[in-house]
Amino acid sequence: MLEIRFHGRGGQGAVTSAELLAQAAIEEGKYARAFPSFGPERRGAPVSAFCRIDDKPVTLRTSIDSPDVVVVLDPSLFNAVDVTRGLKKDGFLVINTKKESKQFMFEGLKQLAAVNATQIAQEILNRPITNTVLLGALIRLMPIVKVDSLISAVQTRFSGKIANLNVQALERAYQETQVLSNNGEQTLELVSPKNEFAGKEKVGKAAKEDLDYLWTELSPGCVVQPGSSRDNHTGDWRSCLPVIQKERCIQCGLCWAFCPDAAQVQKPDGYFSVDLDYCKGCGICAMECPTGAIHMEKELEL
Amino acid sequence: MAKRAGMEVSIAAAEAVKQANVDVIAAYPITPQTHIVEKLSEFVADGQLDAEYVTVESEHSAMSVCIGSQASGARTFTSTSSQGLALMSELVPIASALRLPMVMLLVNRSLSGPLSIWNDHSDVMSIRDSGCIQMFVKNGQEVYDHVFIAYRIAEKQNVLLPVIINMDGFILSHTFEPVELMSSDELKGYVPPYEPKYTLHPDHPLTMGAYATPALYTEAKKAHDEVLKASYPSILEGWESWGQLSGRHYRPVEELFCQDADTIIVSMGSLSETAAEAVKLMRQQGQKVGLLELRLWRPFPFEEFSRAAAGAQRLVVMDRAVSSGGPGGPVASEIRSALYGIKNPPQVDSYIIGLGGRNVTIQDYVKMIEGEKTDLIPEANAASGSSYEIFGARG
Repeated sequence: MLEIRFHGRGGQGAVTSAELLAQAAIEEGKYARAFPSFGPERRGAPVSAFCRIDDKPVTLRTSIDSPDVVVVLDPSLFNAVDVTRGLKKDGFLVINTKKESKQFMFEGLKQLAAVNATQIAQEILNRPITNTVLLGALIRLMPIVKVDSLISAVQTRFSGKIANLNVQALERAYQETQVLSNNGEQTLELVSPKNEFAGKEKVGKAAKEDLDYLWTELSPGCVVQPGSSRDNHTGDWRSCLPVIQKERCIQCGLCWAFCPDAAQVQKPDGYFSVDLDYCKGCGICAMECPTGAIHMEKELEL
Repeated sequence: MAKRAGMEVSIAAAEAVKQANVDVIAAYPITPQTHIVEKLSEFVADGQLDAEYVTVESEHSAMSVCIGSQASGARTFTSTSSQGLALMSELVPIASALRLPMVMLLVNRSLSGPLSIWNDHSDVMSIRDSGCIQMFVKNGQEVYDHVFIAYRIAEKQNVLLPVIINMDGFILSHTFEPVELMSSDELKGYVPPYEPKYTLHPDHPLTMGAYATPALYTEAKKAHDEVLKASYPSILEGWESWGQLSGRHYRPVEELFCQDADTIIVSMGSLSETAAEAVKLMRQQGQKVGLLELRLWRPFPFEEFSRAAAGAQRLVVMDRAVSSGGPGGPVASEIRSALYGIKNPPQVDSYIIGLGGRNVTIQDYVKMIEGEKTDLIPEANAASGSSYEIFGARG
């Protein structure tokens, strides 16, 4: 049985990826199951989805904790989520990056597939929805299903122009994906994506996650004391970022007044800056700014 | 010592709530609970009780108000019956999970349908697993006493759970009988001032009722379960100190002639007093029968129950609710579980009686103890493996 875990952000189609792959496998006469990580969903929040494929019926209904393959739809997730958690030794990783792929290789990883999926998606689909792109990269890395089966699954799922564009994106990704094998020599020099951001993750992160609590440590009635936002960095799921042009700012403070997350902070010089721990990228400040000093940029491109 | 006064049990209950010095009452009138809350609203309106009486549009709102007021640190009381409890039941497990030590007098009435305003225990069984402390009382004096006892237990710092006192509708609520009321001097200090662990206050913000992800829900449930089980000694303490104060002593299970009994009848609530008469009658006829009265329902007093019942050959368990299609009445099922694994456990006969206000007479108890079958269709349940008798159903 092959176990694949997809990581994306709400709206990028991680769940659809898992379902399309399962659909293609089922069409080929294999057995497969795809399902999301269940819970409340917000556009932009980290989500994961799971796909199991086998020659015999798949019976498991548990989330995939030790996948054979991890597919990461969004490069910013390396900051927010431990995407390779539990990845099997000699496992596979498929990533969306514009960076040099070698730096994502790490010890214990067998092969890495890298593609600039955001660029492909922007150019073909005109939006950063990278799910079909990453599926192209995935089957380039390992022929889990035939390309034709996957295309057929895409055409069943979507229709008309959208189906055609997604097929184009998938095929282009298949062509452009770089597959890197771990030859053992590189591992010493290179850093894993997790390690690369390890220091960053710990700064200001929750002292304790939900999973760290024992039942004996819960307060009566599970009362939450003030200050929990110090631990919960609600800006984690931002996909756009306000950028302030100081020369146009008149220090009126409207961005500060309208920000629903108190993420606009006034500096001693009177100008404002954005607290990235809490900015959710809603764009209200940019909308309210009377001088047009704030505009929103895709976080990925920064 | 206090003087006995004749009064309707509902009025005695209201007197107790007044004397317990509650801050907030939120309730919606429903038969047969009405006399309690009518009296309380009079007390408030007449200035005899310095409390907020919140008139609400439904029991759902009543429990919502109770949760809010208790969370703000106010001692809170509510009372309901049957359909009212059903409407409340969405919120009852929230009150207990938030650890809000309110007290509810549940004036037991059968759940519709058919529509019935009369007594049985189908209402309380619907919230059996709600995580509240639950007890049954059998006469007016016990109703009065247990209002104080309930607040003392509920508000203990290591408990902080709602307490539900079950009193049978009409059979208790509408009966006029003697009750010894305590004077304020006698009561003094038994229910100490309420010191909430956390309160909702604008100056000290905190969150109650946050959601728990799958990573935390199990731990939250475990903590709740453990605190409910661990409330047992506090419940005993509440009864013991009440006994010192009033001379009236209560236990999780009350025994009558159990020590040498071959057959023990198990009862809850107001059935117990009539059942005791049946047992005394049969003792006079030389039959080794006993009565075991289950007062504490949650947490279930497994140890005390097993110890009291273990010597008998047969238990006749009376349930006032049907667990349709199940293994027996809810109490009988519980007792079968409680006795499972002990050596030579007694046989447990499950009788469903007194549904929807049906009278249960001394002769009925005698018949059940003698093992009489009345529903005439024993073969019908044989294949299903269920084993209970809806006593007295004409067929």
